[in-house]
Amino acid sequence: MGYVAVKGGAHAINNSVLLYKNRRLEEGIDIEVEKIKTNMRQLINQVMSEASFYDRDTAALAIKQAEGNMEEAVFLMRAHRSTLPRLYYSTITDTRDMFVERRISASFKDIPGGQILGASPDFTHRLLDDSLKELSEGPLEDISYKEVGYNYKLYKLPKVIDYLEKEGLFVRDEENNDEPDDITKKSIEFPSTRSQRLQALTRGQTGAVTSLGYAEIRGYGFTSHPNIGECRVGQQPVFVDIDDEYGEYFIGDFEMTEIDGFMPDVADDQTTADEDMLIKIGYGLVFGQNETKAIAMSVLDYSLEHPIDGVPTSDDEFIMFHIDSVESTGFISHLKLPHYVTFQSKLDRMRQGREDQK
Amino acid sequence: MKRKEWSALIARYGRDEAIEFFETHKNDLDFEVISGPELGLTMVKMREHAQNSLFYIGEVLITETKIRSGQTVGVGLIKGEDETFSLALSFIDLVNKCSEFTEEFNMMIEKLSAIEDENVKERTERILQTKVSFDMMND
Repeated sequence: MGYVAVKGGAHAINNSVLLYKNRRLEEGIDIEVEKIKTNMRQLINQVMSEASFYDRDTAALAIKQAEGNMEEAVFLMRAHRSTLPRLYYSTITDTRDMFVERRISASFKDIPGGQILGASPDFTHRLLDDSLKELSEGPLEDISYKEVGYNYKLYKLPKVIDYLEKEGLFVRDEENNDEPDDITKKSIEFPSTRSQRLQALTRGQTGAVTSLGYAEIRGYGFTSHPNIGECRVGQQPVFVDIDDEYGEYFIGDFEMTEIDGFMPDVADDQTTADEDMLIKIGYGLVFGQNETKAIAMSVLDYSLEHPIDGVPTSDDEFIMFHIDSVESTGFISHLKLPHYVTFQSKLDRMRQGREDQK
Repeated sequence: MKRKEWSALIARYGRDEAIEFFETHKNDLDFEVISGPELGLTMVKMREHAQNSLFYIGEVLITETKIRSGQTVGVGLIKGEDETFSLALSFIDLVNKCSEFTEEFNMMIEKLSAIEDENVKERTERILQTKVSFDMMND
């Protein structure tokens, strides 16, 4: 009987997979991966960030294969990534070298260099645009140009905290060049290190990171909400050193979003009066343009660095073990897969219990 | 020019020029392919600005090629999947190390530098059209 059941299962599974693969084409016309890459930019940003694997072509292919299912696309990316050798580690990458395409501050109106809105949906009305039902070739409208005075370079734009540092409102810690931990190579042990926390947060599921960050500032942790000191989005150059005495080698520019969140004091803050006069930062940095996630990351970074007893969003194990897309969706979704033996034994015990009661 | 600079210039603006350079000169220098072009990953190490420490943001896809002429090894690295470009870059790295085709290389770099200047200017002007001018909000 056991053998027959397995054979029947294989037949059903094969056909289930075929139905799944066919469904996409049965319900409409096929779409080129290139079109997903160019039209679904923000979806690709989320998938790359949660997969912790940056390649727009691979992400577009994963999204097509997954029929737009985020968790499945991230799973495909992570699986593909595991088949590739890690050839290099980059040299230390600093967002001060980013070619800034968007830089805003919610804390200071007059930041040196100005508020640069870049490309953003922040000020759109969120009304559906019927014109998008028609295909168009290229941009429909050109932006209007007027002369804008500036005397700085967007690829060397100082950070807001650099100006605050000059005023003595922010103190830059000494450079810590200790090699970071890598949670893809070594399992997290608690208490976690800062590098482990930041790596777990940046690859966390967007919804999970956002929800937990929201819980923290809604009242479970902070008593007031933080302000965004700087949100910068742009193209970050990355270099490797291949150790052949000819210096660094450029491999590419990668879109990133960085948040310096100015954080409020926490209830049982142990800081001194002098430290209270300084700005405290929670840090967020993610692949792609993912501003909400990066803001939430900065909130959670700070809440984990300044834990409050009994607050779940201050608990590194609670946060880090539950925000990973593949781990959380994998465990939840596995509940629907066959558990016949374990459930049968429970059923047997229940039946036996009823018999005994009689 | 340091490799840090020419590799950025060519990667950003000179894919066609690099491939043309390779096709033009590949038969004028004896070399063999050691490995690749092959796909691999680079783990990106970031400096965070709250405590000035380091962490890994994630991996990026790259294509790597290694070629050799005598004892000199040329390496071609480029983001994404691009075998042709990676091979061309490995050749350019090799000829730079061997000090070959210097004049042709410098001409290519000069051309790409001009393209970069124009590109950065155009991008900067476009992005700065979204710079808020608070003084003019009531106009």
